[in-house]
Amino acid sequence: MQRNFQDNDIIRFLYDEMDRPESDAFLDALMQDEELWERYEHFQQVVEGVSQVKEEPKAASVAKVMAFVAATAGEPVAQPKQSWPDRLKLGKNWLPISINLNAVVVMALLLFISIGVTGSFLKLKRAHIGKPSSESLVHQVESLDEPLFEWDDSGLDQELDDIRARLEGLQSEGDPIL
Amino acid sequence: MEKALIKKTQDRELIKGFMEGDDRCFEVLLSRYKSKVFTTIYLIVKDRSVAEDLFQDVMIKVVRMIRAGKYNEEGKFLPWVVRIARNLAIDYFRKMQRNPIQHESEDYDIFNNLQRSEGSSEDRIIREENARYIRKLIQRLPDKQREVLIMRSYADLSFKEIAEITDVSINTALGRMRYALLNLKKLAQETGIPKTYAEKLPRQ
Repeated sequence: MQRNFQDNDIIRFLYDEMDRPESDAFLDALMQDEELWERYEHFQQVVEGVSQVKEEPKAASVAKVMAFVAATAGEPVAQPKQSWPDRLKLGKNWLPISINLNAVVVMALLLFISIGVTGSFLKLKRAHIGKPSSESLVHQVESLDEPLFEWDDSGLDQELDDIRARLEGLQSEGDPIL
Repeated sequence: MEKALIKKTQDRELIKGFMEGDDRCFEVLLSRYKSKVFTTIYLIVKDRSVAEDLFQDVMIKVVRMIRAGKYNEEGKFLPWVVRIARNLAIDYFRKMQRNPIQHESEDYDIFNNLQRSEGSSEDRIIREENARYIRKLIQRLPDKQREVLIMRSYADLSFKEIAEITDVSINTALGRMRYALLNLKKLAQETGIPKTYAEKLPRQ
C-alpha cells in the first residue's frame, strides 16, 4: 500500500533528510500522485528561490578575525574538557596509562572488601584477647604462685563477716534448715 | 595546503591543527563557513553593518573558546558556531530592547553587491536582484519561522539539530518550516513579484 506523504515529508525530501528507502518510496509516490507532485513543485520552487540568497561578509571583517587569530597566536591552548567516563576510558590527559571505568569500579570494590575483612579480623582478635577462655584462665591460675585478686573493699569484708556471724548464730540455735 | 586536500580535510582535523598552533587551519574553517554564518546572522538581525560586527564577534568568540578548550563537539563545528551566533544575536536584541529597525545600511545595495560579484553578466544581475528580493521577503516572516528557515537553508542544520537548539520537537521545527515556505509564497504574491523572480514561480 502506497504511503500518504504530507507537506513535512516533502520538506524533508527537499532538504535531503530522508533515508534511501523512504526517499525511493517518496519518488515512486511522486510519479503516481498528481496532487503530491503539485505540492512538491510548490515547495521546491520556494526552496530553490531561498537558496539563491547568499551573503558574504566584507573582506575587512574576515581580515579582522584573522588579525585577531594572528595576534593571539602565542597564547597557550587548553585541552578540550572531557566527561569523566571519557577521561577514564582514554586516560591520556591525566594518567600515563589507559584504564577503563569497569576496572576502576572492580578495584574500588576489592579495596572496600579487603578493608572490611581486615577490620573484622582485628575486631575479633581484640575481643579474643579481652575475654580469655576458661581453659586459658585455669592454665594461668595454675602457673601463678601469687594470689589472683587482692581485696581492698573493707565494706564488703564487713558484710561477709556479718553474714558469717549470723550463720554461726543460726547453727548454734539449731535452725532446722541448716 | 593544496585545494583538494583542504576540501577533504574534516573540520575536526582542522580544529586539532588550529589548537596545535596552525592558524591556516582556522583560515580554512573561516573560508568554509563564513558565508553560511554571515547569512544566518544577517537574516536574523536584518542589518548589514550590525551583521558585520556580530560576525566578527562570533568568530573571535569561536577562536577564544577553541583556545580555551571549550570546543568538544567533534564533527559538529557549524551547528556549534551557529548556536553561538544565535545567542549573540539574541544578546544584541536584548541590548537594543526593541525589534531591530528594518532598514538597510547605506553601504548595502544592489550596486554594492555587484561590486563583490566576480562577473558582471546579465544572469548575475538577475540572480542578485532575485536574492535581494527574496531576502526582503524572508525578513518579513514571523521570527520563529524565519529562524528555522535560516538555520535549515543557510546554516545547514538538520531539523533535529534545529529542534535541539530551539528546544522544540522535530515536528514543530518542520511545521514552522512549512509555514515559512508557504508564507514566503504568499508574501511574494501579495507584495508583487519582480519580473525576474516571477519567471521562476509556478503559474497560478
